[in-house]
Amino acid sequence: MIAAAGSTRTRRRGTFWRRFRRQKMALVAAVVIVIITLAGLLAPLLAPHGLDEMTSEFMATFSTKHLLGTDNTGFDLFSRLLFGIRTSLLASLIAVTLALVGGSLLGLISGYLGGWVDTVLMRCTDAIMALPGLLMAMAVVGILGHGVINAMIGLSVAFMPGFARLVRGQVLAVKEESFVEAAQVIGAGSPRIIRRHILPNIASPLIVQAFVSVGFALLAEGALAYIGLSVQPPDASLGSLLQQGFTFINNTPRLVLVPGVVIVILSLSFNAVADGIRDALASKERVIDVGAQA
Amino acid sequence: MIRVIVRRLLATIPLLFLITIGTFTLAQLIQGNPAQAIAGDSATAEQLAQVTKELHLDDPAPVRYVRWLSDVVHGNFGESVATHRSVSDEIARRWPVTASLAIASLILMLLIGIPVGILQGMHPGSKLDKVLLGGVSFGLAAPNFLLATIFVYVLSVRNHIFPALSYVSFSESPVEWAKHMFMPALSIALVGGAEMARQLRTGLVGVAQQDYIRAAKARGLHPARITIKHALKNAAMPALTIVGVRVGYLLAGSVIIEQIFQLNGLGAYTLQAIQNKDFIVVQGVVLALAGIVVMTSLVVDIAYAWLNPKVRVA
Repeated sequence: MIAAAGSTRTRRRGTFWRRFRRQKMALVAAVVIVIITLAGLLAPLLAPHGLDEMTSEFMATFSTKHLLGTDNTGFDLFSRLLFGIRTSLLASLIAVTLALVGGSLLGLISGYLGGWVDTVLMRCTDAIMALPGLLMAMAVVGILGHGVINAMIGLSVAFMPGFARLVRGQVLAVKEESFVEAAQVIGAGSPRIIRRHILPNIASPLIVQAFVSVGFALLAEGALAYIGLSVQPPDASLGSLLQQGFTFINNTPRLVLVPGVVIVILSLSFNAVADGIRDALASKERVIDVGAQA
Repeated sequence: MIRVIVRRLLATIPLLFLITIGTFTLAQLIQGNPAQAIAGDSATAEQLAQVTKELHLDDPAPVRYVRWLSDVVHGNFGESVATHRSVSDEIARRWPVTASLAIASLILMLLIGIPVGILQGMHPGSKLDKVLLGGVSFGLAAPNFLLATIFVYVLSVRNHIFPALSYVSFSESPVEWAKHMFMPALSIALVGGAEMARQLRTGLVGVAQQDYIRAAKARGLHPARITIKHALKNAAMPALTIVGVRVGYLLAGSVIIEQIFQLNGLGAYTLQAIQNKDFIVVQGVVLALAGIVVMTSLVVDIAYAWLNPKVRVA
């Protein structure tokens, strides 16, 4: 039995990779994400200058000394870009992780328990969703104070209902499957059923949703930084770099365009990977069902 | 049909009620000590006590909530802590700016989304489809603040085609209004337009497999006529919901866009209030914005049921 289950899983994963690899756009996007993430993670090692290290040159253009030039304070733009990528990606990851964990928990409770708990929780998600995500994040920043962590907590509150609903819907569907019923019959407890039978079956749509949300979180963090509610100077994120460059757009559009291009490439890539995963999963949905029931 | 409307209205009432509780709690959390906020930092203990007594701030939270709610129902959102101006007046004064922005964005969104979606959906897989698909992906990925910045640079600073950073009301001069609204509205509309085009394309490709389309082709109808008369009617449904969903995004986007173009609308008001911890304003504006979102989705749902009889039974 165990061996059979194991082999099904490897086969599933194998098909997934084969299907994902066939989508060139998604594959390229995944590589781009890996490269940019590595650049961000290794920022302290890669950056030729510190985050708030003033050089002797102001508004210098592209050169071998300053790859992307310097800004009005004499900061090296390439170094700040690397640190900005790091902050933006980490921030998005925090927001999405919090939303994923919190939302899944709420969705599991709501879908598994049902009844009045479900009604109350779902009405609450309706109420949260009535407020646009960015406004919710702004309100939370108003409560907790300015800063990137608080902004991301706010954003995660806005993302949570989406995850909660997705998980709830999946739980309701899986709950009716015969293998869950069988597990109940042989006396498996709720935690075991959730862990062994429900979670593995709802993982794929969750992963897609997580990728879509990271792309969205990147843009939202940028927006919050742009209006000064997220990253505070001298720290930098892609959004705050863009905002600082706005004043000088007349003479030095480079200060806006460089972080702008990176933000678009990242967000494009996350969307493309999410689409790729969705397509790779969609065409093999039936395979999972057969495997799970066999 | 009437039953659908009544059912949706009845579902909206508890939702609005929950939203008022949420908004009230949010505002309480923003300002830990309302008496201090109202009387100012330099207030003496007596002044604080007087403010507390006058405004009944020492009442338990549920009592204060009920009093606030009854004020709100009567159209009174209270006074700003910072400026002592009436929040209702301020909302009424700024509302036209944000509404203009939202309406202009919606129009642009439809003007972009529908033609692009149809062109793609008519010939999926063609060269044109691929080029437009690239544009749509870009539209979905480009943040509105970046677009706004680029528009200002290219269309205003470099080429003086559109005026930046001011507002002219529609009643003053419709032409000037359109000129001033174009860049801010386009910055917000592009994402929605891209999403709409995508939905419409998917819808049209799906509908193309249906028997009635094949029947129309067999009868020798012109492809454009088939698309517009037969396919579009059914493909438009999911695209319609985007309009409802997008209204919230339009309002959220206005916070940033109003900031960049220095428009004095509700978005700028919200941001200001949050930065000043002006909890009475936050409470009022957040409630107003959430109310608009709920009402729009109500209207869209009813329109949906009206257009699609299948929903009415369900």
